[in-house]
Amino acid sequence: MIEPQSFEALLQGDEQAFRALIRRHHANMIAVAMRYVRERAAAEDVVQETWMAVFRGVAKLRDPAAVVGWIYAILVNKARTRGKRDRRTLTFSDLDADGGPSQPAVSPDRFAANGRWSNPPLPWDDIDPERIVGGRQIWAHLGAAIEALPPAQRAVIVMREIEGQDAASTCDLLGLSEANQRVLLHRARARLRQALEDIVAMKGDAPAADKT
Amino acid sequence: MLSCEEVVERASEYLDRDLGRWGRLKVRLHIAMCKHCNRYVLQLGLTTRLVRSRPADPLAPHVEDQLIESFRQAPPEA
Ligand SMILES: [Zn+2]
Repeated sequence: MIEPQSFEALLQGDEQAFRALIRRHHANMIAVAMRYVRERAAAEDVVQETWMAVFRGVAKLRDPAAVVGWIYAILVNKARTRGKRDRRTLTFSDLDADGGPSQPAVSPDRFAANGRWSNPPLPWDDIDPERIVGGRQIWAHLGAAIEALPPAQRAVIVMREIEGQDAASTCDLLGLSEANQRVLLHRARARLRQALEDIVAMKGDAPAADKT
Repeated sequence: MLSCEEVVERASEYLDRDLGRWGRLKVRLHIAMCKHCNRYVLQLGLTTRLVRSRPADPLAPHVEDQLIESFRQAPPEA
């Protein structure tokens, strides 16, 4: 969501407003582009071309609420074209690529045959957002976990949680059915939860000297 | 009664309030009695909040400067 003042500044071609826009969206755009082109360098090209189109076309926009969706529509269009050109477009579906349609979000090993937890989630007394905001470790760990997600899951989590797009526009932009979008989002969250559990487990094992 | 495994598969939809009334009630009944699933759902919600509030990684200065340079060369059409 773009603030009305920033939107006005963008329309007027204000350089600082574009800097802010670039800072806020560039890395997310690379993440989404990588669903279509698997090489980082190609994703960077696509994002750069997208920015060119944004610089040229932004003055035509009328609605500040539509800016982010508009940017991603340009991006996905360019990334798709580039992906086809590079013949890297996957011929199987995203759900297959992300582990198969029937694969659950949490490993079945953690449940007993009757469907109850056999290896339940660890308590997270240490991960309290208020307490960790000062420390960068958790953000770095979470950032790495987001980057390690399968491409379609990463694209969905970026659009939904980081860019704040709703389910309908995420489906629209990424060409997903509502059901696929929901499954990808759930799997992504489950993996990220697991990544946080892993850091909690690691901290538990760490020698006292490592604790600050 | 849902199994823990079934609750876990529905946890995202539960948090997003995407389950129907009956589906929602079944999850609530389960997590009221199962501390592990209760913990799982809370942690999934916390994970989501952390993802949303995570500060963006700083952009390499040369990337930003290069983009701004091309912006100067191609200002928006009035
Ligand atoms: Zn349970």
